[in-house]
Amino acid sequence: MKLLKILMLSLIGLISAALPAHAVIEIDITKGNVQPLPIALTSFVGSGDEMTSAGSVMEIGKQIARVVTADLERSGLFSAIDPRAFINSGNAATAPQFANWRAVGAQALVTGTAVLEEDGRVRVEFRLWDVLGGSQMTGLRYFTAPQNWRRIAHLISDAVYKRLTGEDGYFDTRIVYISESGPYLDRIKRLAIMDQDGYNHKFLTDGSYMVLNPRFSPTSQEITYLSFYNDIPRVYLFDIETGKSEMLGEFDGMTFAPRFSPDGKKVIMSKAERGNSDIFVLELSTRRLERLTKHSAIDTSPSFSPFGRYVTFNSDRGGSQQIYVMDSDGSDIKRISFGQGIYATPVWSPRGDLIAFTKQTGGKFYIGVMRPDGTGERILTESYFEEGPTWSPNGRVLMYYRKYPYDNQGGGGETQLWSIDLTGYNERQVITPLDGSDPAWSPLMD
Amino acid sequence: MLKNKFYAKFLIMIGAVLILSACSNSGDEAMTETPTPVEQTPEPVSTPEPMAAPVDMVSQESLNSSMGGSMSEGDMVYFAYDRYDVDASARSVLGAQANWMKANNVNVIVEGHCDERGTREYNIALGDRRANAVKNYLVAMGVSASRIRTVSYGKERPQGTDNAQNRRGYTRVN
Amino acid sequence: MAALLNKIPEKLSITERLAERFGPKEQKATSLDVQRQTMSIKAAFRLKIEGECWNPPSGALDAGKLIVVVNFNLSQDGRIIGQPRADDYARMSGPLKVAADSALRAVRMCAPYSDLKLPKDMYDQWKEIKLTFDPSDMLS
Repeated sequence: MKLLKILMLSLIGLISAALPAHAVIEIDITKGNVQPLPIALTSFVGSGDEMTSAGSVMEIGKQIARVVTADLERSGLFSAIDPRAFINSGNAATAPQFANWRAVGAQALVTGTAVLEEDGRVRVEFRLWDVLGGSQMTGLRYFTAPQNWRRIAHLISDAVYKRLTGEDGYFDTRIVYISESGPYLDRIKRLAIMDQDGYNHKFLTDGSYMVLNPRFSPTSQEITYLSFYNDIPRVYLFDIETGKSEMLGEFDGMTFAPRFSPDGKKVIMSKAERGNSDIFVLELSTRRLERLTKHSAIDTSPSFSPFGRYVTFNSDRGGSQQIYVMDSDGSDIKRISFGQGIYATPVWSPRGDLIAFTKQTGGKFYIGVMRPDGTGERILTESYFEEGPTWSPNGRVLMYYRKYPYDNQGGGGETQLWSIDLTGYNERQVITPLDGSDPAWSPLMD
Repeated sequence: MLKNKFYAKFLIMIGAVLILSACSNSGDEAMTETPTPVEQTPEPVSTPEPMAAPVDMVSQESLNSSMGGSMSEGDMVYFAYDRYDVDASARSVLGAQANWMKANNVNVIVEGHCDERGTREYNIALGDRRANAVKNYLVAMGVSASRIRTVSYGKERPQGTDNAQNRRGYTRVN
Repeated sequence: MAALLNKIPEKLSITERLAERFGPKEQKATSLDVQRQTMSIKAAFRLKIEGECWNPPSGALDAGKLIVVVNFNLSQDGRIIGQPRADDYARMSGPLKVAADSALRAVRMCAPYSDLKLPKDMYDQWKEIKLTFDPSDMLS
């Protein structure tokens, strides 16, 4: 602007004498290259190598760095620099030589130590550095029993992720899912739980009865799911701490498709009576069941909005399966999906901006997202069969399961867990010991 | 042992404190982190013992052959994709089932099943529709509703890889 | 300007390109030249920072609305004097702060700016740079 003015002035005759002694060049930068941030992570090796109740403290320090590296890399937002490229330089943990880290291409650096305390606990510290700016971005210190080192690693991953992306992380979380095994005519389906990176895997049921559709409570301490215990499909509640489960109310007809309300006080579900499925809300304290929909069509797969004000669900009331949104008292039902094909399993994002869904059209299945008003539909992934998206607690990643077609030799039909970034990139298989389906992501633990 | 137990309880707490910035940088934000308790590791799970529901094979076979011909599947009816209406061929199978039930004093379970080309939750609902369509037909033919229980397995119990064969209602002796 | 021409560098500087185009006939830059020069300097900065250095954070809620202004001063040989500054950085948090971090990283990654061969005789025109990082066109 300033320069334009000067130009005008000069054109009417005040020639070159009008050159200002000082000006600011203003430039708009509107393009960039979105790519993983190069990050270097050093081993969390402290001064000693004492034995702890969970191995040597030096080995714990090395493992923590490995787990943090794997967490960050799996997010697709970071690329870890191979430690073999590191230039060895002085006390890396507290006073890094930034030029050496810049030389290997690092833009962020994580250093840390793990030290055995006199009381038997391990003290773990980390610092996140801005390599180019030469400054510390954040740093935290943790004390824990040595056997909890893996959890500390995930907490560090979350802290680094949050400082570098501005969003909460999702590494200190767990996945509950259905572990599948056996031939396709006699599939054994068990409730299983693991850390989001696949460690600490545990079966919660023994497979003698079928279970489906597990979902975490907001505290991550309970799981609501569909069990065919005694050959009677009903919604159950599983307490992770005690390992006990109980049926959620004894009602006429089958209950299924359960999901917690955001405050954890209710479970929303479908109940089928004489062949007709409608949506109900069960208040956990009173076990009172309140009807939300009453329609001869199938109403199922309900999911609350993050503040519990709305419910999205799946219904074929319009002639084919579509996604609907209603107020949480059952009023003001609106259809929101209008694209080609049929839509199912809507799940509200924890940050409220999107609803993820399963779509089926042209003989294929898709996972996609749309805004709660139905606009902005975006397909993220497609395959022969996939369904049941679940959100990472920060609303950034979706996990779902895929099933492969049967082949002519009696094989095929495997089920696997997969995840994909909301941007449609970074699709990866989530490794499980056996086949896996129906994943549900826990909230951040606290 | 005692000491270990004490540790397990005491040390399960995780504390996190902010490390003050080593070099001064005005841009650093003051971070606070509250102590983070770690939940107890879940105990190994004891699962309830499932009750086996043995099927009376003799009765089941007699139901299977209630149509008369040995090749027929008297206990099975099939549905079209995403449909639950009982068509003509299903009606003749169910008519025979109803007659058989009137002649035999047994209760039955009707299973509703779906093919795999749909979501789990919708198919649980659709299987329930199908099982109830079968039940309703049997009741209309004069069988007491109290003798028929329905259960939907959705798409979870296929009888093969052929989708058309999996969209079915199966009547079995309780 | 004539002195610069004698160096015959591998890549022509903006000044040199201008000189080639308009000829070294004028000893003193006119305002029109300044305008043209300024446009070229801007284009050179843009090309370098957009093409080589800015890695904007994506995926945040409303990532396209995170606009950040960064100021910095350059020495005559194209090095950053002191630290680049993002407006309101101290008051920023969350995704906006992360957007500012990415802008600051871009400015530092690209430094020094000696390869832009900025015209030394116009140092006063480019010693202070103000960049507005606006990802709205690329992220929505």
